[in-house]
Amino acid sequence: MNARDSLLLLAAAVCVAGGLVHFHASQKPAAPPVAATFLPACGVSQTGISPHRVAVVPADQPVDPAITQSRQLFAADPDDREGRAFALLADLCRDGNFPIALQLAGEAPADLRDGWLKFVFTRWGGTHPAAAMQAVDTLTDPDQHTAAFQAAVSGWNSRDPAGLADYAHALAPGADHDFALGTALNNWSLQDPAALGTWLNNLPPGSEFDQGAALMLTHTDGANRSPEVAAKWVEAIGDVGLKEKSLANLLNEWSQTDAAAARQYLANAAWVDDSLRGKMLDTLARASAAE
Amino acid sequence: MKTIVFSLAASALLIMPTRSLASFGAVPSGGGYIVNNGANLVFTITSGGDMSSCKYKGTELNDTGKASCIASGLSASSVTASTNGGNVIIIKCVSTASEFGNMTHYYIVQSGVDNIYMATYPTMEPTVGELRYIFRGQFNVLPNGPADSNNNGNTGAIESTDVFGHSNGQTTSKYYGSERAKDLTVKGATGSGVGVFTAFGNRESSMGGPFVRDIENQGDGSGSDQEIYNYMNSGHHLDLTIGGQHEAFRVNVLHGPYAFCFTAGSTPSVPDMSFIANLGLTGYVGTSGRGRVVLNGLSGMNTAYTYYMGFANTTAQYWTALNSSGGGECYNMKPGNYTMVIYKNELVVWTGSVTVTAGNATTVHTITITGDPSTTATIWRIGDWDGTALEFLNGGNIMSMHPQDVRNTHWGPVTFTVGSSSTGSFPSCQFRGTNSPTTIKFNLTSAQAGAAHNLNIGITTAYNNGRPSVTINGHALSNPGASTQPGDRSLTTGTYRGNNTTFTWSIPASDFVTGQNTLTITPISGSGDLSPWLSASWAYDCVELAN
Repeated sequence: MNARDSLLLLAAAVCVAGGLVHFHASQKPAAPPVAATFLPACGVSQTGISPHRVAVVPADQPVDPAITQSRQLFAADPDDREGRAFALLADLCRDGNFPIALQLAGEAPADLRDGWLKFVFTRWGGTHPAAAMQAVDTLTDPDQHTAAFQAAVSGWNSRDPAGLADYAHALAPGADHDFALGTALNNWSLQDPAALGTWLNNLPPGSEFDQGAALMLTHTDGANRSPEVAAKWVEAIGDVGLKEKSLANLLNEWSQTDAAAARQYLANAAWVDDSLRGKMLDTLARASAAE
Repeated sequence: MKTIVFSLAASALLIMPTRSLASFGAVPSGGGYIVNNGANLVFTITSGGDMSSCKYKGTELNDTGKASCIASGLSASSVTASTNGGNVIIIKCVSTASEFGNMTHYYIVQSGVDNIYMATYPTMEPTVGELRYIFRGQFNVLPNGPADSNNNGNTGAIESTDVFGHSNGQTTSKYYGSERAKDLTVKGATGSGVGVFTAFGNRESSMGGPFVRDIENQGDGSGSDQEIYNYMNSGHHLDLTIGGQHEAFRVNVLHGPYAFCFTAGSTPSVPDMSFIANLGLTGYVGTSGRGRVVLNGLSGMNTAYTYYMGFANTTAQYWTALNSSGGGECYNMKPGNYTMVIYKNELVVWTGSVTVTAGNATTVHTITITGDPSTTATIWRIGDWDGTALEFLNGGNIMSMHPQDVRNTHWGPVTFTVGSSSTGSFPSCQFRGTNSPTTIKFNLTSAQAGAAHNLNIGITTAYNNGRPSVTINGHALSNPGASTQPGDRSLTTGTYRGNNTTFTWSIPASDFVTGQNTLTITPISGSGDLSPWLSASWAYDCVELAN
C-alpha cells in the first residue's frame, strides 16, 4: 500500500471509528466532537485500497463538500501554487474537521502530502490529542507512523505537556515512549516546574524520574525552589552520571547566592564519596576563580 | 602547482627573486616575512605569525606597538612562504601553543590586488573561547569608523569595561552596530586617502546561524586603535540552539576565506576569493566536493515576512533567503546530514533534516509550515510571532545602543491597553530593575470570561535566567522555569537574538472577569541583579491571549 492509499484508508477508518475513542492516560483529553458528525460524509477514493478495508466505507456515501472543493482546486492548480487547497486544509483543522482534513491531505499531490500530513496531526494533537493518537495508531507505514506520531506529540506538547507526559508514561518502552516523554518533560519543566515536581513525586524510581528530576534542576532556580529542596531532588536521582551532573549544576547555582552553604552541604552530604567531593570542590573553586 | 617554499632557516632570498622588493614578492625578515603585493601594500608578518606593520602607499596603518593577529597573538612556531602561479604569495603560520593546540593561519596576496586574504584552520577552540582576527589600525590614521562602535571622546565606561557613555547621553560599544551573519559583506574605517575593510567571507564554519551578531569594530579613540574584526566564533551571543541542536564550536574545518581590503577610502565590493581554491589550504573543500539543496516551495507562508532556510551540523552551517513562493536554492554545501529549518523572519516554523552529497542537488518538495504560532486564534495579540522584538518600544535600538541611551524612549513601566495602545508602545525588553511590571488591560465578554484561555508570552532571549511571573486580576499564576539561553550579556550588548522560547499558562475561567481584566508581567530569577539594566530580563517576541 502506498503512502497515499494508507492515508485514505486512515481517513476512512477514523471516520468509521467516529467517537469510539478510548484513551488510557489519566488526563483524558476530549474526543473530537466532529468525528461522529462527519462520519456520514466520509467518502474516500477507492483507488488502491484493499477490498476488505474498502468495505468499511460504503461506496454510496456522499463525498464531503470540502473534498469536492479540494478536488476542484487541485484540478485547477495541481501543485497548489496559489495555496487555496492548503487554506482549505487549514480551515478544516481550525474547525476541528480532522478526518476530512486527513482525507484532503491524502489526496494532495505527492510533493505536498507528507507536509500536510504533519500539519493535520500537529493541529489534531494540539486540540484533540486522544483522537489524534488513535488515528496515528492506525498507520501501518513505519515512516508515516513516526512522522504522524511526532507531529501529534508536537502539537499536544504545545498545549498540554502534562497530559502528554501521562500518555508517554503509559506507552510501552521504545522510541515513541522516549520521544514523547522527553518532549513533554522538557517543555513541562519550563512551563510549570511545580506541577512537574508533583507528578514526579508519584513516579517510582527509575529512568523517567531521573530524567525529569534532572530537567527540573536545569530549568529552575531560587525563583522556583530553595537549594535545599533542589538538593533533595539530586539525592533522589538514581543514575550515577545524571546525579553527578545535577549536583554540579546545583552547587554552581547555589554558590552564586550562598557559597558557604553550598560548601557546607557538600561537606555534610553522606551520599557523596570522597572522590566526588574532591571533584566538586575543584569545580566550586574554579567557578569562584572565574568570578 | 608550482610552489617554492622557503623555511625559516632559509637565507634572505626573495620569493620572486627576479624582482626587486619594491615590486611583488616576499623577503624573509626576523623569522617572518615582509610582503609587497606589487601595488599599494607592504606588510610584515612576524615570526609569531602576527602582522606588525601594514603600509598602504607608504602610510603605516597598523598600531606601532600592537600587532594585528588571531586572539592576542598566534605564537606561531612555523612561518613559511610559498608562491602559486607566480602571482600569489601564501604565508602559512602554524601555532602549536597550548592555547591553540595546532592552528594554521594563512595570509595570502595576489599580485597587484590590495587585499590580504586569510583563512584559519583550528584543531581546537582557542582556550580564550573565541576565534577572531583583529586588525589593529591606528585611530588617528583611520578615524572614520562605524558611529555605533566609535568610543572616541567617551566619558567613561557605563557597563563592564566595554560599553561607554558620552557627554550627550549617548552610548557606544564594540558590540553595537553589527549586522546579522546573513547580512555580512564588508565593513571598516577610513581616513585621509585610505580605507581598511573586513570582507567577512565564508561563514560556513562559524556558529549561531544566520541571525547572530558579533563584534565588527571598535574605535578606541584618538591616540589608540581603530580595531577592525572578523569574529569567526565566540561566546558573546552565539551560544544557541538551532533546530533543537546545541551549536558547538566548529573545529578541524577551515574558517574562511575572508579578507582585509585596502582602498583609497571608498567602500570595496566583496572580493572574489575563488582563486584560493587552487592553493591547497588545509581543510579547503572545492566546488566539486560540494552539493546543494533545492527547495520547491513553502505552503502556509505569510507574505508579509521573508522566509529563510537554514542548515546546520557539526561541521558547517548555511542559509539562504527564499523567494515569494518559498522556493530557493542553497549552494556550495559540504556533504553530510543536516538539520534543516525554515525561518519566518527569525523564528523557526519548521524543522526537518536533509542529506547533501557532493556534486548533486538534493530536492526538497514543498514544505508545509507546521510551527507558526501566528495561526493560533486569539482574543488579542500584541506584536507578531517572528523571533524579533523589532516592532516594540525601542526594539529597533537594541542593536545600536545601550538601553539607557538618551535616544531611547522612556522605558516605563508601561500600562498597555488592548484595543487602544499601539504595538510600538509595548516594551521590547522587560528589565526587572527598570521597567517592571508591564501591565496589560483588556476587556472580555461574558462568554470569553466564562472559559479558560491560554496566555502565551514569547521571548527571543533572556538574561540572568529572567522569565515572566504573571498575575491576572490579582491571582498569581505558576512561576515557569528558566529557558536555555546564551550565558553572556545580550540586551545591553546589541542583540535580542537568543533561543526563541514560549511560556504558556492555562488560565482558568475563575481568574477572568467580564469587562476589564488586568494582567501584570514581572521578571523573576534565582539570581541577583548587577544593575538596573543588568537585571533579570528578556526581549519580547509576542504576547497573546488565545481564544
